[in-house]
Amino acid sequence: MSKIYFYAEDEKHSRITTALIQDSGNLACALCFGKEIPASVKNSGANMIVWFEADDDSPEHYAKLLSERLVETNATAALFESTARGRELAAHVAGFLNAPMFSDASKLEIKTEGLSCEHTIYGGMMLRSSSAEGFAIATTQAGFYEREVPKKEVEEIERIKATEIDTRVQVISREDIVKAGVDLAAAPVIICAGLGISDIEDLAILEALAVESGGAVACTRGVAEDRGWFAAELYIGISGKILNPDLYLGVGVSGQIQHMYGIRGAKTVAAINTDECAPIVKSSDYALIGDYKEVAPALLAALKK
Amino acid sequence: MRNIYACFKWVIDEADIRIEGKSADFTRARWKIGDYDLNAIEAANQVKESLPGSEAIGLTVGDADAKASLKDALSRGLDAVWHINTGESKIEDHRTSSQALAAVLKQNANAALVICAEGSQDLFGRQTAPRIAAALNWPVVTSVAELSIQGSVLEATRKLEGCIEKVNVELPAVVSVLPSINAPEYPKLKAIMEAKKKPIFEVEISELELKDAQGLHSQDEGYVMNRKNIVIKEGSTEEKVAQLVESLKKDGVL
Ligand SMILES: Cc1cc2nc3c(=O)[nH]c(=O)nc-3n(C[C@H](O)[C@H](O)[C@H](O)COP(=O)(O)OP(=O)(O)OC[C@H]3O[C@@H](n4cnc5c(N)ncnc54)[C@H](O)[C@@H]3O)c2cc1C
Repeated sequence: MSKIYFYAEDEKHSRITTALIQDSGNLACALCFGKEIPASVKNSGANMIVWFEADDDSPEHYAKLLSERLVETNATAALFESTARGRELAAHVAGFLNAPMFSDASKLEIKTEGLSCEHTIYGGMMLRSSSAEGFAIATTQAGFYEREVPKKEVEEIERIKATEIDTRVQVISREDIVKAGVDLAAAPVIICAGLGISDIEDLAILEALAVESGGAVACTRGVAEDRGWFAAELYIGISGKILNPDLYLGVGVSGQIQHMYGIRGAKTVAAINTDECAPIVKSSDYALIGDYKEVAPALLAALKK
Repeated sequence: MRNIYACFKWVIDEADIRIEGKSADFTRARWKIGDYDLNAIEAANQVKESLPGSEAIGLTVGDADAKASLKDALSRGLDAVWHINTGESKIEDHRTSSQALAAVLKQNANAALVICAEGSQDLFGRQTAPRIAAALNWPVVTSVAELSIQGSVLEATRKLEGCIEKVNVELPAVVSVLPSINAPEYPKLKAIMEAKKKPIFEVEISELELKDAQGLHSQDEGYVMNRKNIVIKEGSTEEKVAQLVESLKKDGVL
């Protein structure tokens, strides 16, 4: 049994990570940084919490301290949720320790000899299976492991008064991003608007399809970033959201690999496209060839029946 | 200590990879500077404007073939470019590539800022900027959406999951920038001509004293997408829609 440290922001992610570590026969040590222990860490069911206590609440600024801690306690691995802060902290620690690191690992396994996992490369065209001997670091995305431990308050807390924090990066301000109020991850059906939607008014019919099917409307990158029709948090793909809905329906979406990467986990993929040669036709279960201007209203009528 | 470095990587265009079963055919694939790296190069060009007397310098680790990237990088506005030549071997281990980049930055000792993309287009590990920072013991800021230098301070705006964060960073520093930071244009003919006269520096990776990177094993295979590939194109719109709805209901997803 050895210590495996993890950093996670989301409570579910914390409990999934705890399950993975404990199932491998190791001790799950939850990390937190700052003035207090967040509820997501407190309830993670981990064997212990290691709390770097200081006024600074940016976990990234504790990379050096964390690296030293990992060495001192002979840790065999450290896992981080793949958020912007988690990834930065992970790679910074990996740099200090010159350790191998697996980014966005899936099928992660913790063995006595080290970590092994799979990760996608070339924008999702290929899979790389990797393993490391000795200490290694991995980042993971939501749902990387099936089981989660039940919510349970962690009793053992190690409190470290953190002194040598990196003060060279000063946070001047933080402004919450106004959420679009749509939880794509929870939607069983995703209706995805692509650049093939020529008029902004037509989004109304996609919204209606989403309401009728109990789903939500998302989009491709260009629809959000170039046209500004949606908030950036609503675009799907390798640089956007990764979703696992029951049904993904792409409307006017060409199906480039960077976009499709985000919905690989979908049970069923369907598309409405005028072009039979569009790449999405080859990566769908059902591709309906036709103009969305005609197909979408007919589909809405059929769903309402 | 005034120059702005932009890291870039010569990568395969993944759209040209042919996947047959689990094996992949790279023979028809073209190579290019990674799309995300073009944003890093453009960011370096822009920051340079606010730092009189500074140069924007490209920095890449790559095999002998990656030489083909150098003129391209220079035509995109950089003043000079460094190539860390790995000869016949392609370096896929982030430990080695980041150490090599850091070693050249240390040798040159004139960087105010190092700009990376969030991740390279091929491996997208998103590790390079923090690793370089660790190797040099410089501060690092990732997920940067806006960037400027005021005196000896870097002002950066980060786009994180739940918030927009503004930070001030001591220089020298390392950042990684998001693709939304700018929109690089295709190089103009004049810039392509000028690129021919700009300096290219080369160093063999074996000349840099890097720490060992061992104990990592990997194997690649094509990603197989198992989908039904049913094309619905016969009949009227209503008939096609009816067929789609029936199929989706049968699959239990509607
Ligand atoms: C490094 C990199 C990262 C990227 N990351 C992402 C990402 O995370 N997410 C993402 O979405 N994209 C990403 N992209 C962009 C991606 O490659 C594609 O360019 C983008 O997804 C295409 O968007 P689209 O399908 O909406 O538009 P298009 O490719 O323009 O396709 C529009 C489609 O609509 C069809 N169409 C047109 N009119 C109609 C009609 N009347 N009825 C029905 N169909 C119609 C057309 O036949 C076409 O197939 C990335 C690109 C790069 C290079």
